[in-house]
This record gives sequence, structure tokens and C-alpha cells, in this order.
Amino acid sequence: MPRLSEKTDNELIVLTLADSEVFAVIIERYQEKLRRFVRRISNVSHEDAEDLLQEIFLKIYTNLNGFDPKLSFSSWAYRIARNHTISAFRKKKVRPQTVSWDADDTLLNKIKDDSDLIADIDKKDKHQQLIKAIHTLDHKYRDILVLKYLEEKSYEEIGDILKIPPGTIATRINRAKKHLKKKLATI
Amino acid sequence: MTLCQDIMNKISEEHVTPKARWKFVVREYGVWITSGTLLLLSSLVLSVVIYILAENDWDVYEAFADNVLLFIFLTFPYALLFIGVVGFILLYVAVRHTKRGYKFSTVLILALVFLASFALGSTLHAVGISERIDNVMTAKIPAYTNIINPRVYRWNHPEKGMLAGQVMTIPQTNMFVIKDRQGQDWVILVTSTDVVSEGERFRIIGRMIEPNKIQAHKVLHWKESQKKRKDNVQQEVRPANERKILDRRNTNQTGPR
Repeated sequence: MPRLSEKTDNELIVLTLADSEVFAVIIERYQEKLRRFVRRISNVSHEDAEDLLQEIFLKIYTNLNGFDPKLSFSSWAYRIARNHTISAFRKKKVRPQTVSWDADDTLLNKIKDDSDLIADIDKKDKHQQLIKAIHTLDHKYRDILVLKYLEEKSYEEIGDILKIPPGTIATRINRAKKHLKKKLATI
Repeated sequence: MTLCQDIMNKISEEHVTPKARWKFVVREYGVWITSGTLLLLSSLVLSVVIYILAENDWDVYEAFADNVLLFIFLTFPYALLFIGVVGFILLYVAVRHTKRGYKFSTVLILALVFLASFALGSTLHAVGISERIDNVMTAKIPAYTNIINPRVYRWNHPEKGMLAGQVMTIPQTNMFVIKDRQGQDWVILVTSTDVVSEGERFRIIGRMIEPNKIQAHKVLHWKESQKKRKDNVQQEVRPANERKILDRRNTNQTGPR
């Protein structure tokens, strides 16, 4: 579907509602982003992430008529992915057990650039500790750090995904960083 | 098989279809209708709070408390305020659940909710809705006078010389008969019955001298607004010399001491 891949998200949604096959283009476009996001906020295994993703895309599909075109589709899809991931954990009443998240330097470097965590991290020099600390954070702090530093979302997008007013995002990021710093100190 | 194929197969095999648009529209309208209903209810509650405060016994507060602050503390309609606050919170939650409700800060939504309720509540009070609600609730729900607006209860202590009721007859120029809320008749002795008229409700401050007989020190209209209306009418129709006498009486509104 070469032509379809050039269409905007909103155009694809309209086409999907007429022909479900078009939804495959949306899946292809977002599966990597959402897979990464789900794993970053949940720390689940690859297999679990695949199951979650399947459920997330089916949820997106069944709710297509509820999509508000004034919102970006990406934010809406991230919101569904986040809510579904959190509710899946709540249903199973489990928290991530193992640290299997791919340790990349991105988050470390981004947070380094943006905060005074640098000193603590340099001393410890262990990325795994940072990742472990992030995964001990409450969802609302963990998710905002992931969205800001890894997904590189704007404040407006973060607000749309988390459904919080733009004015509170900076405050929450600062709080998240403070909590992260405390966690790092205890690890 | 890739994730994409898996999902597309599932959609095809299980005949998964997008939910109908009308379901989302109904949900959104439902949230707005709920918000509107809660705004109306909060405004009605607030209008009754305004009414109760406006019609409170400010003119004789010293009969109930040593100072105005204590009087406010003792007579404030807390239960109604609590109901109103619950209404505000529910309204806030409903507004938050609208499609774009999350974009606004809590402070802004609460401020808007309060301003809207206050504006609508003041309007409802101005057009007399709050008075009607109070009258109906007082007549139909006994708990209302005990918990929400205990003013009627406050004026139902003849043993302390505090009584309110409707004037049934004015048989003499120095006495009249009222019926209290329990339907009991009371003879009220005064120096002059000029300020009273049949069918209207009055507050009596005095002393019970016999069973069902009170010597009044003060005879006051039940409602401030009623008093003002009556005063205006009387001032318009009476000649100047009579109006002076009436003004003096209404200012004091006192009976024999």
C-alpha cells in the first residue's frame, strides 16, 4: 500500500472506518513506537509486550469513532497504550519483577543534560541502577519521565496523553526527578 | 506471523468492528447533561443559602447571640453548604470528564464552577425560586427545619417568649391571634396592631404570661423583604403626617414593654 503510507493519520482513520484493511497501515506506523513505550513504562517481557500491543491496537480500532480529530492521533494512541498497560497490571495485580528493559544511554544522557542527577549517576556509573530506580517510581512519575526524555514528547502532547493540564507538567517532571534522585540514593 | 497480521486476522475472524459513533456522542452529551444538571442543583442549593442568610434574623441577632459573629456561627446553614460543596465537587469531576476538561487546571475549573453557580444561584434567588424551595421544604420535610434551616425551630419556643406564626384575626386594637406551625392558636397582646395584618407571618419576642398568651415586646415581620414591600406600599398611599408615625413605628417595630 505505497500510497496509503503517505497519508496522514487522520486520513487513514477515515479510510479505516470504510475499509478495515487500512488499519494495517496504522499498525505498521505505530507498532514500534508503542512497543517501545509499553516496555519502557511497564518493563514487561517481549512476549507480554506483544500481547499487550495486540490488545492496545484492537482497542484503538474499536474506539476509532471516538477519536477527536482535534487531538493528534499519536497522543490518543499513546494514551490508550498507557491506560491499557496500567489497567492490565492492575487486573493481574502484579508489578514488573525483572529489569529486562533495554538499557540504552538515551534516558541517562537526556536526564543528565537536564538535571543535577548527573553527579549521583556519575558516581555510581551504573545505568541499570537508573533503570531500576525509574521502575520503582510511581506510574505518574515514571511515565512522565519516559514521555519527556525518551519519547521526546512536547508538553502539549504529554498533557494529552496523561490527561493533565499543561501547566502541571513541568511541576510533575520536577517532582519525578526529585523522586528519582531519592530512589537513586537508596539503591 | 507478525503482530500486524495477528491483529488483522483477529479483526477479520472475530468480526471486530469499531463501536458506533453515536455511543461516543451519547457519552459526551451525557457528561455535559450531568454537568448542567449538577450546575443547576448546586445553584439551587446556593440560592437557598443566600436566601437563608438574607432572611436571617439580623434585626434581632442579640436575642440569639452576644455578637454578630457568634450569631453567624450559630445560624449558618452548614448542612446546606455541605450539600453545595458536594455538588461543586461532583460538578468539578463531571467537567473534568468532558472531552477537553483535563486541559484546565483544578483551580480554574473550581473557580469557574463556583462563579457559574454563584451567578445562577443569585439569579434564582432574585426571581424568588429560593424562597419557594424554602417554603416547600419547610412545609413538606420536617428534617429541613431541624437540620437545613432551623429558623422556624428557633421561633418555636413560646416558653422563652420566642414565637412565629400567621395572623389569623385581629379582634381588638391591642391584641391579635396567630397560629404557630403546630396549628396552635396564640393570643398576642400588644399596644397597637397597626403593623400586623391578617394572613401574614410575624415573629414575636415577649413573655408567656398564660398558656397560649404572650405579652409581646417586639412584633417583627417574618421576612425582611415582606416588611420592605409593606412599608413601600404604606408610604405611597398614606399622607405625610401618618407616614412619619408609621416610619417611626417600623423603625422600632416594638410593642409594649
